[in-house]
Amino acid sequence: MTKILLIEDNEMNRDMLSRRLEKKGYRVVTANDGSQGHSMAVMESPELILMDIGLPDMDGWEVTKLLKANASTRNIPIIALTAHALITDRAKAFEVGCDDYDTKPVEFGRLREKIETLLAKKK
Amino acid sequence: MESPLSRLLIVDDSEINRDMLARRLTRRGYEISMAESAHGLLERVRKENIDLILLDIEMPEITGLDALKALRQYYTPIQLPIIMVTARNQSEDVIVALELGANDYLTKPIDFPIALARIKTQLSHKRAENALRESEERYALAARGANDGLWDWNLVADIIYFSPRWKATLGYQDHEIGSSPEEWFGRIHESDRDLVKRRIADHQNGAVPHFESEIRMLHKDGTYRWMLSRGVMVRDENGKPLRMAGSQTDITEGKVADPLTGLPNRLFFIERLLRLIEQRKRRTDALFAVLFLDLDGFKMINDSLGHIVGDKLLISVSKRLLDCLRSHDLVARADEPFTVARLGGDEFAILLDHLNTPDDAKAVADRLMQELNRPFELDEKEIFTSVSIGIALSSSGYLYPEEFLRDADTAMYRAKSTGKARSEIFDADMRATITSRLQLETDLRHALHRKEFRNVYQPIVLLSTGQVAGFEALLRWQHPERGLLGPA
Repeated sequence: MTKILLIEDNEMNRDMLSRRLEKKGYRVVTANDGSQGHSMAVMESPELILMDIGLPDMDGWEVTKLLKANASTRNIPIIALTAHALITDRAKAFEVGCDDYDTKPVEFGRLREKIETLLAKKK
Repeated sequence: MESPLSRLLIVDDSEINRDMLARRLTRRGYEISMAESAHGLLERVRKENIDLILLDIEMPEITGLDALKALRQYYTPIQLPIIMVTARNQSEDVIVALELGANDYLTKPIDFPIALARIKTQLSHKRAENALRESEERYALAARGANDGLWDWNLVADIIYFSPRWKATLGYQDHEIGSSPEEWFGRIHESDRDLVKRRIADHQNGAVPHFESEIRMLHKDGTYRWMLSRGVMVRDENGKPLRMAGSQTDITEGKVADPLTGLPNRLFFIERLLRLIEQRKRRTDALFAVLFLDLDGFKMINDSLGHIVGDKLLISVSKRLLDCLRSHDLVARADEPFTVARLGGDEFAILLDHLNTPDDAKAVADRLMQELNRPFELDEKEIFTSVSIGIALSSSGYLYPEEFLRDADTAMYRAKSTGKARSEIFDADMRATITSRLQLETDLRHALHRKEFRNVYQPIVLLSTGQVAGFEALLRWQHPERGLLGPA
């Protein structure tokens, strides 16, 4: 079963998205802030990470940078999720090393395609 | 006594530390797994059935504290004991670690006998947990059905885990209730709190094999619900209590309680009363009484101070009634031989069983009136109220609960109409008065349909002239049995 780490501080979003992912057959582990997201990424070794960018304490950019700088977590694909469809966000997502990017509110079908594409590429 | 299968996981980035500790623990019969970082740790714990973790605080990338935080998301300190390993100068980290849920700590260089003792202690707690799981079936603690909330009280740390279902039965979301025992005790109805504590103590000192209590708990919507709470205590090898775990079931419906005060409602009261009436058919000498209580001037309090204060007053009154009855000599028995119910509005009814003479009922009523005469302190205001009480006795030979209540109600009205703050025992005269009055009301209603009213005219004559100046029109009732009736 494919394990996805969802880092999201908003409880409702976290709950909704993880439930929809689980329905599609993924195993979902969650973290609700940046530093927890970082340790969970290392300790859980998920196959893919969905990273909310606006997080308390350490933001999603920082967590991504840390994970991409570390050999043990570098190869985990990260999809950044931001609330605004700003072009600067998109550019920044790729600059810090995110593998893909999507905007919130999430359109689930599209997000799922992105997840599957990245998982297929990994193999 | 040592479980041969205990598997420990040593997480330390220093190879020398890891290997040395591993070798010595292996010699003591433990199975050892090792990890040089927190990398993939959660997956390993899951797959390898780890019983205890020795976790180095100072590690690169993910520190021991971060790892601890993540582990505690999944495992309670009892499910997975974690002993932190620290350098001597890291006392602040130790405090943080303990707050995050570490079970214990060791300082480097490791004193092996101490390490062994601490590991053993933690594992013995864990075994007690397994023992509990085995006894769960016996006590039907877990999985009693979807409607049971579960609680698990760590007596050492004095924190309680409440399951989401436990919180939901009280109307709360998972995140709205923490893990302090106060979350439980603070919501128990004042009148039940001591009882619960007593029952827990009874279980703790071995008087009863498990804890069980029916209590009223405050729901988020402000009403009280009846809960059946039960549980069992788990001890370590020396008999020291470690935890208590159990279930909570909403039994309000079975209790048919009044949601405001948590007291039984009319339905429940009538059922109890019916049972006593049935019993009396076999034991005719049994004496019991119904007290019908009505607060004097409640409407005025409600209208002038608002219904929130009114509601609070009703709750306080119900509590005072219970306290008074419980402390009363006449009814001090193991099983409470009384039932207090709220019939609605400001009406309460009390069923008193096991009376010796009618005077007993009167004595209880007088005592209750005295108690309710003392002011109530609500929202820092002193509120005075009094109560009128009507009493009906089983010696009248009632066959139906409704008759019983009706007569108590009648006596209450008599008490109220003769000056309030009094009690009256129902007697047959009252019945006669009330019956004739009721009959009159019924007849009056029919009179209009039956065209029994007729006008009579009285001429008004001017004395000065002797002439008829007009007529006074009067109504008379031609009653079929009692003849022509005037208002007198």
